[in-house]
Amino acid sequence: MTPIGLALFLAGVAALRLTGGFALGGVIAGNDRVTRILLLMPLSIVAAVIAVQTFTTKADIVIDARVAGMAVAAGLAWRKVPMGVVVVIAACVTALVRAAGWG
Amino acid sequence: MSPPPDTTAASASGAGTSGAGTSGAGTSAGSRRALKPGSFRPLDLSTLMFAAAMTGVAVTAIMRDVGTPAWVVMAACTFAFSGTGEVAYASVIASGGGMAPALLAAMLVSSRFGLLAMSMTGRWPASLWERVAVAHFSSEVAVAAAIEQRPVGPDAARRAFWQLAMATTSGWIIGSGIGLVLGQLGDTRRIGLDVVFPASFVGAVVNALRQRDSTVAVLLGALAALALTPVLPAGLPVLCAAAGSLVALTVEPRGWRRPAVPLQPATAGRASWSPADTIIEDPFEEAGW
Repeated sequence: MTPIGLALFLAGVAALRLTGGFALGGVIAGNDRVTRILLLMPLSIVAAVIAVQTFTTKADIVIDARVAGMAVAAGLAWRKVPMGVVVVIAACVTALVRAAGWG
Repeated sequence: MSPPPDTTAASASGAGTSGAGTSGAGTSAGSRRALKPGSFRPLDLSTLMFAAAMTGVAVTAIMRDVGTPAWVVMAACTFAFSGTGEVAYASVIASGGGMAPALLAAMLVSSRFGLLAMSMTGRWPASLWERVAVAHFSSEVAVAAAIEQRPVGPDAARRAFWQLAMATTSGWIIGSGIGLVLGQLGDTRRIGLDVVFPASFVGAVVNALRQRDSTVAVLLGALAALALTPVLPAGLPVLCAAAGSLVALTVEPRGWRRPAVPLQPATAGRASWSPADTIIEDPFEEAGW
């Protein structure tokens, strides 16, 4: 990243965030239906990010050690294990499965 | 992340406006000082900080690989707070692309932060500057935590948001700095660093599976993103996946076994919230886990 790229990158990200937080957020506040969308939409986005980071590499669907780590993480999270512990165990499981030669 | 489990119990007793959530698997709640609603334990915050630092180290390594000057790496991570955006930029450069396509990829990947920032509007009374700061610091982890705390009240949502936002931001900046000092790390995948980021917000998604409409939002979001990844440029699949929430809107907002419960608007206070809302049976319990 060059300094010019950095300046454009910073401006772009800030513009995206402020558009969401102000231009879009102000127009639609207070509507019950919209409130529900705002509750559900981040869940869709977060699930999508998790899916992409777990099952894809570049533009390909890839099943590898990450899936094992994330499966364990999901089970632990369901049992309400604290987030920090979940993260560390997920990384360890992924590392172990990789060390065992898979993915 | 797990919300303070005691919020359910405390609220069910009808009294607990404070002192909810001593929290925590494996700790004896009685001996610990009660946390405010929406608060996380220092252990949780510091592990999350550690996780964010690991991501920072990994992203810095990727940025340095494409010849980014150290100060640019630090400026990018400090002022943009979009690790995936940096990775997208660097991967286009690494594959021989120019600055324009690299920026486009970074913006596409970062556009979800606009939606996340939008979903945080009006959840608690905030000044202009706090709203700017919330927009700047909106991340999956913090937004998911704030939404999990929604039934408890606006104060809890605000506390959860800021605690996690500060923990992840500080960890992320420190980690990026450490990444610069360490230089090349070799393959960070070998120690499982690539699941640190997704695993840090898997808790919110898993908890969403306890209710019908949010389950639909989660499953459609994940499936749409996976289906579109091979055919769309990076970043767009995640954006399109947001549409899964529109379908979820048509599903009844209730748990799998409880009778229907009206969903409260985010701005509603505790007074209008019935404790029965959050008592959801645990199928794993019955399956003998």
